[in-house]
Amino acid sequence: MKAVRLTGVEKTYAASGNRQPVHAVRGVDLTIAAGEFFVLLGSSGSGKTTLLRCIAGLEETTGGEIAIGETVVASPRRTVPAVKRNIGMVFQDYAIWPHMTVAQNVEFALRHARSGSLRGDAARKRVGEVLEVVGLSAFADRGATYLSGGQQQRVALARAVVATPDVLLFDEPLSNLDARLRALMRTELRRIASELGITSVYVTHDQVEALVMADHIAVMKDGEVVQVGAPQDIYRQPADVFVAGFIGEANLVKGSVADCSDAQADGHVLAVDTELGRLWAVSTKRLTQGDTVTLVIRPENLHLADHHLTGASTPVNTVGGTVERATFAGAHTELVLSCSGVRLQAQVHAFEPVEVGGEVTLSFGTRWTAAIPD
Amino acid sequence: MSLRETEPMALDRADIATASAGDAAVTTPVVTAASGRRFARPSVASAAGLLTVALVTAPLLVLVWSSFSVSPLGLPFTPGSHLAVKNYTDVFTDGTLVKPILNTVFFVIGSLAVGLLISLGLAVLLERTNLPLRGLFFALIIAPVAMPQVVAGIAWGLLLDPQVGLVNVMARWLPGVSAPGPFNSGSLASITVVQGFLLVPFSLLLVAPVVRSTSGALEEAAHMTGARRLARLREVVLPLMAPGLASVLIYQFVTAAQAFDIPAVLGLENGTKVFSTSIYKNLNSSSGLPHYGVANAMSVLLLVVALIPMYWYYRMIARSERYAVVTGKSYRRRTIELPGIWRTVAFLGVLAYVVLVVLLPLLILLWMSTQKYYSTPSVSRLGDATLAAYRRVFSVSTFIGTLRNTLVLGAVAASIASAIAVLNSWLLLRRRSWLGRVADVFAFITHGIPGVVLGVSLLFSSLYLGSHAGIHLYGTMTLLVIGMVIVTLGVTTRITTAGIGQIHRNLEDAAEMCGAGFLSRIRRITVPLAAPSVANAWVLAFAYALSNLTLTVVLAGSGNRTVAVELYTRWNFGDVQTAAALGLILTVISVTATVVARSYAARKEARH
Repeated sequence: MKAVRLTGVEKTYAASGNRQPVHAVRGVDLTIAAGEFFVLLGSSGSGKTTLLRCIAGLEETTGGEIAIGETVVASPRRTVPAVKRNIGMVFQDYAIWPHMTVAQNVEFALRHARSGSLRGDAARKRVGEVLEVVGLSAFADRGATYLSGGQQQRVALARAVVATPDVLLFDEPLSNLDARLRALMRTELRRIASELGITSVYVTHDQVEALVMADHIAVMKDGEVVQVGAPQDIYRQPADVFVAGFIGEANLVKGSVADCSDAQADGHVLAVDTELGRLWAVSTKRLTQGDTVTLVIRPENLHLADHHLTGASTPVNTVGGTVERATFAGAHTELVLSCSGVRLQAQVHAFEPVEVGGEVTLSFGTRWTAAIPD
Repeated sequence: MSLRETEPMALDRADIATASAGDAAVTTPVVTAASGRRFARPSVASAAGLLTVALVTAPLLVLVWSSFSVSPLGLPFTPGSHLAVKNYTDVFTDGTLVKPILNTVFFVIGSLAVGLLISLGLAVLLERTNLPLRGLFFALIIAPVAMPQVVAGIAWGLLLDPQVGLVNVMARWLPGVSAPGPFNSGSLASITVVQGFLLVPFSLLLVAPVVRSTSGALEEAAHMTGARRLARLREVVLPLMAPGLASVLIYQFVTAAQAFDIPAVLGLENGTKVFSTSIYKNLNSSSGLPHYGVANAMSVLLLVVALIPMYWYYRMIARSERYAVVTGKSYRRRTIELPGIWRTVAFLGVLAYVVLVVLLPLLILLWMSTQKYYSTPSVSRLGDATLAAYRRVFSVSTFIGTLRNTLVLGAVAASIASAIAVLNSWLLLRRRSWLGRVADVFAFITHGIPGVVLGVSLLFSSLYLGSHAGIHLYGTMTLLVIGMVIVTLGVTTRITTAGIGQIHRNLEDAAEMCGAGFLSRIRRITVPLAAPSVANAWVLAFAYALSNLTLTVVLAGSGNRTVAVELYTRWNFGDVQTAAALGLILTVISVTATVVARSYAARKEARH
């Protein structure tokens, strides 16, 4: 169990022919604590997979430093090859070797283990233990290609952890599974990683996966880390408009600060003048009067009546509007409302009586309304 | 108002760079060209790439250099030699060369016309019409690929013998035709047509996919416009097939321009020389001293003629075939329903071709190898059948050595070539370095190095090494192995590149993350997963080395005689029965190896 420290990591693909150089990763600083489950979240092309492959040693960094524990594994002066890094990795398409059985796949990693090659009975015993952990004991001698996607993913995990690596890397491991299996494997992977206590770095473009699994999330965009934090903090206090929209749904309302309180439990409470009138919000930073901000109002925090929020320690925001559209979605109803010319999305309980064209009053709490300075 | 939905999902190049091998292959390997991981660059693979370049260039450089070397003894690199263009002026002032050049032009154009027209016709009949027994015919027409050309040459020599050749005897059943002839096995027309026949199997393999993939839908679209059949053919079908057919034409042009076996077996005795056999004749002059200088300069000229189209061909298919990833997309075929009478005519035509070109040569070898005397097959002589020729072959004390030489040559050369090919493919597909691309080009163009030219190059290289470095390779197995590795690098590399290209790069990365070093990864992951293509590459190289006559005859010494050389010598001495027996033995080995390797590959393929 070792920490991973990244300092100013860069990866640039050199220009060639008539192509411009590609800056895949630009100056990433991250500290991943020993034993934690860390998620790199970003859309395609954000550089998250490239960054993961730099940690793995499958890509060579072009700048900065990567350290695993006390050992610098990548720097301009010195690069430790992947085979010597003691890192386990689970790949997107499982990368299970089709010409080997389940046990042979796992044993391969033991044979080449950095901590010393393990063969014979000792190896068989260890393989058995690990297959037990991932729940595949019954499949040890089966050809690896005769397994379902979920089972192959477990083989990949067993192979990655069998030689007790310092760090475990996941490259979008669940993206090829169907939705139900994905939800199941999420908790399963998380459980196994916790049980083994290995420092894990997990790449995904799926925000739900990130929120459910992570101890900490780093949101990446255009090769840079735009925010790092615990899932709740990122969801409640996105660092910028991009993060607000990338993680969860968000109504974005611009306004200017009228007043700012001293720091309280949830940060500074602000009074903000917007097109919807004066609203209350929280901010991690102290702001001064006249600063322009964007308010992040989550659809699920908009309520049709204020009785849910009575007794709140902070003011409750109230806006009136007209229902333009109501879409029944099972557990809830999705509303599109027009409030003083501003269009808002809201999610309300399916049992709320709503009519298209009807006038409604919406309320939402201050604590759940984040203000992002522009 | 979800921002997430408006976030562009377009693939950024950084992701393409790390995408699957398949994806990356389609997007041409430009992106990461210069991004190679500096560390852990497996020097073994780079060494293979450099070796490829060296193996191809070194002998050719020696060839070019020595072609400008003139010495009183006629041998390059001997005392008193100096640089001059005399060898070239000799080639052009020597009037005896005009005939071979004209012969070669006729031979190349004629054999290409015969070979490609037959292939095209067969491809259309077998791929697009309702001809009966299409599958069986296809297999039978392809089968002669495994028959060494020198053996085919002997079979045709027997069939077209002006006195007793079976084809001539049958032709004389026609009124007004009398002996000798009407055909002469040694005439230019004969060697041209026979070479044309020998071009058919491989041409059909290349042309069939072109004909098959010409989408029926496009033809139907033309049909709906009311275009008449000929107009449809001219304006839609032919233009669609043109690029595919052009590449086959170029490839087979190179094959025909350097063809040696048929002109050597059939033509030399009769004095019919083409360019490649003229080079050989200048080395092994029946009268007087060898003309090394002239052979040398002619080799350079032939090399230029074959190599330039080969590079052209490489450029042509670089984008289409080599980076094509199997998509499993099936083309809709529109079967042409032949009307009854034409179906019968076409069937009989194809049957006649199969009997004459595929079965007769085999049967005549079988006949001749079991007869005491040179004779026309007849029922009355069936009773005289004897295994004397085979007994003679195995009783000759040197034969076992010759056979062992042949098998060792085939196995060693095929193994080395396959190993280099795997590493070359890896360098090209995984590393995507400039060295990988250069090695790929060099390996590929080896088909454009005529066997006789490579023979001359290696001959002079070994002479140079002998006189300047004290390394004596002339007449050794080592020299033959080197030559055979060079000539088989192209085909083996192409096959392994296709095979390794189908393996997802993550499978190797996963092994790397397990701590497996480069050679472990290649041995335990890459090669087993690419086993079908590695087996195919190996057996093709093996069969090629087994049947190769040009290199073996040019470089033959006492220590490296092969069955093909033995065969050729016996034939030239008139020991027809033994030559036929040797030919059949060689064919059986070649066919057996091919069948075993193919079925192994097919079994592996089915398992994955």
